[in-house]
Amino acid sequence: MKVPIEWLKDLVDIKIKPEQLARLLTMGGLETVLEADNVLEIDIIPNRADCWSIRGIAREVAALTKTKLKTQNLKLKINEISKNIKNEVTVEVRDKKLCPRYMARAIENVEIKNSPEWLKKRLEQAGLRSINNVVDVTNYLLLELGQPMHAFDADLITERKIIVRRANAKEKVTTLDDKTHELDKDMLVISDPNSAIAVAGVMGAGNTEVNPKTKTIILESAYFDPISIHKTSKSLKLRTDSSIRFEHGVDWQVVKEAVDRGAAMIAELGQGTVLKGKVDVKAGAKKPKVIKLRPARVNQILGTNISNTQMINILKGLGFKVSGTQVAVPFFRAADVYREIDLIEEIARIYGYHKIEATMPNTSFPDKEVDQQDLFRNNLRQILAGCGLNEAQTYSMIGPADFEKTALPQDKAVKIANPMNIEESLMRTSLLPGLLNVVEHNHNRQMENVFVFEIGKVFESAAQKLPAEKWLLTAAVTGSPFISPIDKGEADYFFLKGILYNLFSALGISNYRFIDTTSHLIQPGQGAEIAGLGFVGALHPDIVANYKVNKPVFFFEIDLHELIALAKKERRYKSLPKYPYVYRDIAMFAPKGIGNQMIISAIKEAAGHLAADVFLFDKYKDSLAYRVIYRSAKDTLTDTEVNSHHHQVIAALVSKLNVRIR
Amino acid sequence: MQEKIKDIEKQALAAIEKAATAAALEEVRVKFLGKKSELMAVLKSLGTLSLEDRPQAGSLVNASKSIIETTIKEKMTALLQAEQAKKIEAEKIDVTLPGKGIRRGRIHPITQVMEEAKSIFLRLGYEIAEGPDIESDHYNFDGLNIPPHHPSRDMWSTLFVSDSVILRTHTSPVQVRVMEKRKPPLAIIAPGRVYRRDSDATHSPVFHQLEGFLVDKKVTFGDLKGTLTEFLRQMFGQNKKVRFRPSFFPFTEPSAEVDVECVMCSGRGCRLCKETGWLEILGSGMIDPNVFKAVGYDAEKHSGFAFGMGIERIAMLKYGIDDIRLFFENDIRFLEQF
Repeated sequence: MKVPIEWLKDLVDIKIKPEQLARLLTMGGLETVLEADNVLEIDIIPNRADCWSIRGIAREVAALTKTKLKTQNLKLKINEISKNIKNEVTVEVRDKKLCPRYMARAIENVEIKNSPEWLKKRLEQAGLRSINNVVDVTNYLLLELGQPMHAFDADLITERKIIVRRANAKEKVTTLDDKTHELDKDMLVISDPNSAIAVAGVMGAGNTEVNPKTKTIILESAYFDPISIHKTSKSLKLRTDSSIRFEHGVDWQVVKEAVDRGAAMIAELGQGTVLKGKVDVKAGAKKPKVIKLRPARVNQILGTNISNTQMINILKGLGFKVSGTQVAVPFFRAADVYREIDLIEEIARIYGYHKIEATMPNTSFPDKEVDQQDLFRNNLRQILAGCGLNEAQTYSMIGPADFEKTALPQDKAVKIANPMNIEESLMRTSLLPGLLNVVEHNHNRQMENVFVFEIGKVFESAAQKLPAEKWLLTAAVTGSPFISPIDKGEADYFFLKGILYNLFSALGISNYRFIDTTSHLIQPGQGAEIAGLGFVGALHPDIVANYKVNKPVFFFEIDLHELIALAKKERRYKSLPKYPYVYRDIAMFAPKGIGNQMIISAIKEAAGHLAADVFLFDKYKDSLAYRVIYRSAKDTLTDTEVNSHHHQVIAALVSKLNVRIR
Repeated sequence: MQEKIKDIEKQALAAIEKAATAAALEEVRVKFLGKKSELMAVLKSLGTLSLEDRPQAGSLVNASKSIIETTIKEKMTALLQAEQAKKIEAEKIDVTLPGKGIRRGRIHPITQVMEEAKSIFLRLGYEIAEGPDIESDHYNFDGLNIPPHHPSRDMWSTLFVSDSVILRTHTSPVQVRVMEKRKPPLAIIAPGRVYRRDSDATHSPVFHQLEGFLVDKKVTFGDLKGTLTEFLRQMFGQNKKVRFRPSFFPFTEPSAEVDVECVMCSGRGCRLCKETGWLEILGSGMIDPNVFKAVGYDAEKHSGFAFGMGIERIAMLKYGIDDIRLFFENDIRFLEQF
């Protein structure tokens, strides 16, 4: 909200410089920036209904500078003529819940013309455009008092009868901005016997607008139900200076003050006369809320030693009435102060947060629950970064195109009802689409070596209210992983498998298996399922073709929940071997379909407990060379012992796997 | 005899002189000092000499042998040194060529900042709790004293899945979830992703928050100030000034916005801090009694504070990044700067 300091000075004495004033308001809880022409731009926080007016700001300034509000210039004399409004205008409020108070005054023989310069200037400084002497008065008082009012051309209101009612279903109204809105039964309208003449509290209708021919004005000042106004303004997408104030709650008493001042000002500026009396239809009298304040409680919550007198002075300075421990809340603070804790905040605010001493909590936590998941994920990131993968963070939302490009099923994806755009309209079910976009983004910028991973959540619709959420670890790689292009070689299946080896060993996982997969994501024969954990392999060329990437892409995707379940939580030391090992090598040709893992298993099985390790140590075309490490825990093995085991191994390989020994 | 010995010695010294490699020199040694050498033959033939002549002839042979040995040894050392020097010369490399191996990966800057913030609170004794990203409006709003249709719901532009299921707009729902299940004392931090219907250079529809709260008997606003001051000093530097300003959050009362002295201008005022000298880092406050009430805590018995911060914002300030979207583009040239 824009607040010209000159205007503020009508209401309160200001002895400090504009910069200091802005700082004082900021430190009092209203973020304020000083703009050109000594206008303050104030960010009104949502709970401070009272601050949506120059007077409300003046009240803050008075409390913060320990002075009093000026009141003298708020009294205007009303020259009422003998004609009584009650004989000229009728008001019927049909819904007193949505409109607990409706007031009106009438002004006759008004000349509609331009406003005087001083009024135009003030409105312009506050960011409003001058329209005519009547509308400007309502806007002026809206700004100064925070009470929105509406001026109707009385002669355009059928029978001069005002009905406050709920709109009919699909009732149409064309507002002052020339837009036609369709209303519903939850919305409140101001109407005459024929049609709506305003969307209550939001905007007037064109049919009763004040125009150059207008002679008689009916000035409306009301209290509308904040929630109702909020809903209406939101569903009509019509947020006005008026609706903002009503939805926060206006001051019950100012409803009257504003209509009196408004009538007097319109009469003065339009050379008209105010009719005698006023309409005041209300649901009942409102009483100020009284709250019990315990000074000890104030100091206990704040950690302070503020004296009772100081507390009382602060509250009085803000307009509260204090008697003993009873604090009466002024109407203008009814919306945000209704509990003791709210008074405590007021005291803390004006006392000054900076004066409250900083301490450390004197607390101990006997039953702490240490979250392993978060630690685990952090550990994974460190390992993967060490393996040469960059961590990426991609949006949790993706688009239908991402699903189509990766041929991932869309049926279980959680849909956003009000997405910002189609590309962010579905919650991801895999991290792969996001990472492929990262690969493409980098390729488009001449970065052809892309090694990325992400640890993040994926989402799936579920039977219960909230969708299922699951953490995944996904990596996508393409190009050369080396520091220098002198080192030849590009990422492939085995590069990722090497990373997985390091990852699993870091987590103490040894019982993992790579098995055949038919996943549509993987190029047949160039990837595997990591049993129960996920997939690793070359991304299917049909999918790669959907991205602007001219190199093969390899990926893995792992379910973190399963990975954590397998990870070893504790480690035990195993004693180091005391005796030397003896090794034997076997060179062979294996028939098609006999893989490394099968050969190693067969060797281990045949060699028995003496085989400490078995590994492929050389590979040339179809020729494979395995080394078997024999070791006993009891003594140094003799050649005879080793040879007898080794013969069994060879025999088993030939008979079981049909390999040809070289 | 004497002449013969001298002659052998002369020949030997000439051969040593001529030997150009260690191997050639070894051949010379075998030839002149080996068992089958002339000198050895002379030594063996000493027995044929008269007893008077033997000592003199013996010492002559030994003297020549010693000269030859010493000379070979010296020459051998020289040759080996030369050969080593040659080898070293040949093995010289360009030490400015690039190293071998794969490039290391980087941890995303958001994660790095998040981990730094988390570690400060972990050292202060806080524990970590998490909640779902897709949340019910009950936990995201109602339980946090944000009733339906209240204007304060408009503080967040929400992405909806259905009328009552949303993408959480803050990590505060974790507060409610933890308090529902557990009793005080509690000191919790809740890191995670949050979502808003917002996108420009400083707003991202997806970003990260770190939420924290502490509940016990007699927790004061002073404790909130002490804790957050300690956190901000560890995060931004011990000499940085910190200030607390009144603010509004539906779930705290009193509420405070926490600013730290501008990282760029140290409080003098610059573009980054919009000439105020301060950067807004944290929202915080004493947990509102209505929040306690909703989880069945007695606000007369317990009090507590809560705070929340945007990790992207802190990372932007720390690293001088002016566009939040860079974090989610994952350009390798960007990631490799951290």
